[in-house]
Amino acid sequence: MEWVAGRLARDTRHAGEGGRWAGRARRARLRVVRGTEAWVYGEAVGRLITELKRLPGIGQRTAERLAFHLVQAPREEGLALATAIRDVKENVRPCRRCFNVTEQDPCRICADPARDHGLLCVVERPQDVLALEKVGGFRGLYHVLLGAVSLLEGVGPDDLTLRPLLERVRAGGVREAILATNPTFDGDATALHLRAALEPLGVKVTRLARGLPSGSSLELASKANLAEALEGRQAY
Amino acid sequence: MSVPGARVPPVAIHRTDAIVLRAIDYSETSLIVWLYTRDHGRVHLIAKGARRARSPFEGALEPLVRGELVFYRKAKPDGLDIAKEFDPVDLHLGLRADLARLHRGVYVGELLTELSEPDVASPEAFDAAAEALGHLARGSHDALEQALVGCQLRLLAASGLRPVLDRCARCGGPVFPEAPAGRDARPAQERDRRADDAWFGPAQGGALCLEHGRGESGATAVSRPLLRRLLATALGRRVAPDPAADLEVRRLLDQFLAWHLGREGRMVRWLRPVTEQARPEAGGAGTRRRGASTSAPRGPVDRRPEALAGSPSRSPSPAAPGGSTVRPPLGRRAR
Ligand SMILES: [Zn+2]
Ligand SMILES: [Zn+2]
Repeated sequence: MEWVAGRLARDTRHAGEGGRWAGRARRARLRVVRGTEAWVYGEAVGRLITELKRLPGIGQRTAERLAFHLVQAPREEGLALATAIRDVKENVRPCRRCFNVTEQDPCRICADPARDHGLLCVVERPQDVLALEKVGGFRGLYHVLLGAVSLLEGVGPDDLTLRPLLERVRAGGVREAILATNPTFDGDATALHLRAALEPLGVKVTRLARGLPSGSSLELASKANLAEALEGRQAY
Repeated sequence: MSVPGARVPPVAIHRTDAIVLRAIDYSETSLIVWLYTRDHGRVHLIAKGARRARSPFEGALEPLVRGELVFYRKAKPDGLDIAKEFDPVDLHLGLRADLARLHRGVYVGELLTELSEPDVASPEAFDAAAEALGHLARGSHDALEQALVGCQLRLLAASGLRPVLDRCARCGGPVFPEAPAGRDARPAQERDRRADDAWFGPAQGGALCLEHGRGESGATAVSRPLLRRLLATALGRRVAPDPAADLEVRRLLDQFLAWHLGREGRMVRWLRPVTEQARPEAGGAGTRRRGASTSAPRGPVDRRPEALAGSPSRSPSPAAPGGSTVRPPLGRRAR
């Protein structure tokens, strides 16, 4: 895949990138051989670049930029980042009930007696919990699937936290499961599989409404949004 | 739309009907998309900005959406071509509202992907898939299996893999032992009742007469009505949908395709009746891809496009069990 990444890196010109470090980075990049940066700047910088490149959306070029930023940054700033990463890896884990990211198990939401434990909102990722909590208004609990069904990529419902979800529902007390997977092909596929698994358990299954974005106009709406809004029209 | 940082001016702009096969997150804003186009066969493109809320692709670059694609060919052969616009013509929303429709639609996408090679066009294959997806999204439930069967047969034909159905694939003689005229006075229905009237052998290329089918490895006994149904569908004749019979026919074609592709289709396990699906291991090993040459199975987290690394154009096709070549290109070179 090197060729795609390389191509992409070359096609993307980051604004505001300059200075002597960037110049060095550019020269280093021209050395095609892998590991050249370690040879030029030493083992530590090479390792940092390698580790940064593992992060999503970070290619060689960005990894080098971040690495050189850290090399130049004040000592406390770099170490604060290192400490934050260490703390996350040592203290944060998935909640045993809802699989949300938490430092205490069960998580704050699951442990809150004031919330409605009969209402489960099923989402793909922990970030979705955050998004919904920021909106406020939802007083039920969550269940994080840790992904979405992607049949062609070989990800089925059993690769998600479907079984623990079914166990939660079987244990009783859940009235309604709100399927809040993304309004994408994979999100819809996930919702269909969840519905098929949940309905036999006698729980009410609902899905988030979708359609036109608020504050927009019909004229500006995408075809996909309009088609979905028509399909999902409601009695008024 | 300008292409940021492109040193080499884009050489050619193409406009073609297309079906999205896969859309893989590439960066915060970009997707890598595989599409099956009517005029260029399978293309792999980068769609810059497609993940933004307001993108020129309007969020329509999703699997199985059909639309009008505008894309650039890069001058250099090693670059990813660039998707410029994608205007949806049919979102096939019905596929996303029903598991039976979804699984069959994804199977069509899988076959289109597996039977094709990059940049080899087959308008017949495109039309077969586009038509089938329309039926699967909107057609009656009873006719879903039939739509899939029709598509399987047309895709096989477009790949030059049409099964032999009107004679014995081994000896070329008649498949059914024909009684001399007037001798067998039994009604046709009764004659049809024997289940082992003929055989169907994927490795042998299709229908087999009693003599050449019995004992052949991988051959399945088929009844006369079933084989007739298969033949009529292959000839494009109108056949009344019969979900149970169409399911049997589809399973024969699943086997036929599995033999030619070197593995069972990934979607086949999802098309099994629910009672068989309940076994979690059903199709486990069988659905794994054989080699790493095509896109590897990925976990839910890692969906970066390394999976594209060895696109089939770059690696020789693996040999099928039995020694003959696999995956003949759908159609002709188009570049
Ligand atoms: Zn929790
Ligand atoms: Zn024969």
